[in-house]
Amino acid sequence: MAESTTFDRVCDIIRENGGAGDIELTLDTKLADAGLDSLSTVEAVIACEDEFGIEIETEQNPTTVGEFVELVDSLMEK
Amino acid sequence: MSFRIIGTGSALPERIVTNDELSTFLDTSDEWIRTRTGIRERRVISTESLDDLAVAASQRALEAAGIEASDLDLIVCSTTTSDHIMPGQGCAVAAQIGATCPAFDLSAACAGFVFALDVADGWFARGRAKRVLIIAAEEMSRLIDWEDRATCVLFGDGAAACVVEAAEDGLLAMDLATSPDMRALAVPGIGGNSPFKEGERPASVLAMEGQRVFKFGVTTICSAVKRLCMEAGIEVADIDHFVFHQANERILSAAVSRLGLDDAKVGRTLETCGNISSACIPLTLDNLARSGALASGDLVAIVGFGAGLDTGSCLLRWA
Repeated sequence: MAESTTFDRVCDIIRENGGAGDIELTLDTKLADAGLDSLSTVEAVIACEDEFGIEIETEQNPTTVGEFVELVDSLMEK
Repeated sequence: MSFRIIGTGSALPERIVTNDELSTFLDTSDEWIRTRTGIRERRVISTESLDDLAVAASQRALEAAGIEASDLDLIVCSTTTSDHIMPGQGCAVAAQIGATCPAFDLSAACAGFVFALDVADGWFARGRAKRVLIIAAEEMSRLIDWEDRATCVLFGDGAAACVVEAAEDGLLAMDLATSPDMRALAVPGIGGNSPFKEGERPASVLAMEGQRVFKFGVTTICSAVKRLCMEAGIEVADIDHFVFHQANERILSAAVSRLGLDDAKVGRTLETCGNISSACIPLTLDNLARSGALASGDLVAIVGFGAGLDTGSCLLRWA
């Protein structure tokens, strides 16, 4: 249940940062295919840090929606 | 002790290089550069020297302050791209404007101007100086790999200066910080040709981890502004002007939206000048001052950030 909530919130953030105009986001969707370039990815990461109250190292930058959700969940557990 | 900025000046190279011109020898385009950086064109040194620009900016600052070179007690030049390894760029300025006070350079990359302000404040506090000339002069075009489209489109050349005078008030808060990181943004030193030196001698060319620097920029601006406000006991909304290091429009706009700032209060020189390292902040201040935007008593928040990773921030009440 927690994962689906994180998924929805992460997808909202990806959309707010310029990605995924029309395409349906799934856990397998690559961030690049969702329209996020390298800077938009950082913008989405910063937005997630604010949204979830976590800190994400740049080296951990995700490449897919699933990695993004997993990363957020793993940092939330700490 | 405290200080006020009593005069500003700047000088840019004549040569304008547009994004379209860059796209004649790089696989890039005006649209690509603009949407990712906010930069339309930059000034690049061709016939003039960095000394010329530093001297011109200094003379304009002295003129605006209404003082002579002989009135100066100290010259501090922020640069990482001097015309001279030695003597310092500050000494070159002193020679040409006819100053005889101590002069030296300071290396704190893009945050250098704020670090220099803090040095000046220390000299004022110790009673060693009443008036200090601070210069930031950068020729980024000599450190760039002009074949690397990811970095060379970002930078420009130029110089800006200000005259700072000891005062009872004016400085509300000052913070310097270093979050040590030798890889995020770096230029190796001179290799030389010593026959005894072993190992590699990397070229003195700028390399940057774009995502890391981008994130550092956004989070640093936000945390620095909040800290300045806390130290001064004011609200972010009380600040009249924000002068941030000009690295990328998307860093500026992300910080604006994260802090909830009025965008009109944020000074910008990025679109026409690119990133001129430590010269960005005094250049923006000079543009604001000369356009009449800075009224006496206005609160100005300044945040510089860059290689180091160094951060310098301060909150000033304009003279």
